[in-house]
Amino acid sequence: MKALSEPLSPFVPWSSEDRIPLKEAEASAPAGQPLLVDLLRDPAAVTERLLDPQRVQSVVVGSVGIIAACTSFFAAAATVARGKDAWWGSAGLTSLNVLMSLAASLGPIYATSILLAARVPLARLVAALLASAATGSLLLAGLASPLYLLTRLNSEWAGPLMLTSAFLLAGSAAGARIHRLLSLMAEQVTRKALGDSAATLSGEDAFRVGILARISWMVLAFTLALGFWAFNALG
Amino acid sequence: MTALWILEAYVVLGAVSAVIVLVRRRGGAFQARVGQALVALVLWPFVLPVALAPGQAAGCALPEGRSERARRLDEVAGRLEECWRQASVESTWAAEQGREHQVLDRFILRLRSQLRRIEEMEAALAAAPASVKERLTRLHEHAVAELEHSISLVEDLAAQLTLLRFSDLGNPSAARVERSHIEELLLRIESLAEASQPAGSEAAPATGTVARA
Repeated sequence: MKALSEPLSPFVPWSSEDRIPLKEAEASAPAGQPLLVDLLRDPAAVTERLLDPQRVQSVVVGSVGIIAACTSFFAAAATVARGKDAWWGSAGLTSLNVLMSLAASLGPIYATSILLAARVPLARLVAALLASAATGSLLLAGLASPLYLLTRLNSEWAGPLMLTSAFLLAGSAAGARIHRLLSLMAEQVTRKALGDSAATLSGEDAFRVGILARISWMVLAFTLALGFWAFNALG
Repeated sequence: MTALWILEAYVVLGAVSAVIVLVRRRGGAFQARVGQALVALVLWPFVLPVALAPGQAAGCALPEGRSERARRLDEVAGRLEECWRQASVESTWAAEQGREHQVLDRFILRLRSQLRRIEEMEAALAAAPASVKERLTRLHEHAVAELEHSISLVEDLAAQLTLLRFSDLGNPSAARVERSHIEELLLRIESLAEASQPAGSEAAPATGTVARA
């Protein structure tokens, strides 16, 4: 019999725990990753949280916190870059605007899912939408510093262009994440129902999930645009 | 309609949501309940759907309320995973059985799905009319016996894998004997898993048989 693990240290006594191959040790590590890390790099881990009734509320509350913090930071950076002092009003209004837009988009998206015969339980839909928006918000917060620099350099062209690009990038990331989360969620549920870990979504199901994801993105973009126009949060 | 009116409506709905959360989480600690109620008061459009989700209220009592069978299945699945991992580290033979590991994963998933069906059946049995109760009871007994048999197969396999880890310490031929026991168990598990595959999966590429030493 041949040992397949890495060579052991002569200074460490033998233990089966030490003989876990590195690949497996890495795979077992992400179990305790914080939500922030999962939102950025691991949609599958976010899906696991969404499907676990015990963890879904923490996803909701955590995502709302991330959205509020990141969008406020972005709005504050955009306001300060334009030389205005009252950044707190803009910051508060922007995060409020985003959260209200998300709340307003829930009803139409849920109704669409019913019409498409792809009903997502409301609790999971809320959590999936918030998680996707949180991913977009994180990207938005990351783009705050280039926005600040470019606005300082040229507030006529570079700043507004960067502002638009930041929203487009964050929107694209959030849209892609909605699609990924909904697909993974549907796939996991199908696998559990069939008892087959290799099962995939049928072409028809995948199509319906795709439509739902695109409509979710569109409705959310619409309510967000409406909110920004009405509140003039970044004005 | 003014913004103040909308705010008032929002707060009233938030208060209602907070009360709902307090009532639905009766079993939890008081501080946690108050915290969740406050979160619901402010963020009710997001928190209320989660609080009203069917599995959520029961979810608080889930660890205590889980059936003995579910606990046993979780325990045996964890033990099998651990035994397989250790055997893969120490035995070339076990490390090469990637496909068999996938079969086992599928089998555990199937057992979980079977367990869910049995729990549904138990709920249906409680409210079933007398005309179907006897037939349903027989079906339930049959399903439970099948599940128990499957779980005991997995328990046997975990035990054999432990034996395989240490079989090279004694007679060299012992390892071969243990391997053949494991292969026999794997074949039985695979045949059980294949026998209960849904009709849709028949179109999937045919799987091979368990390799014999």
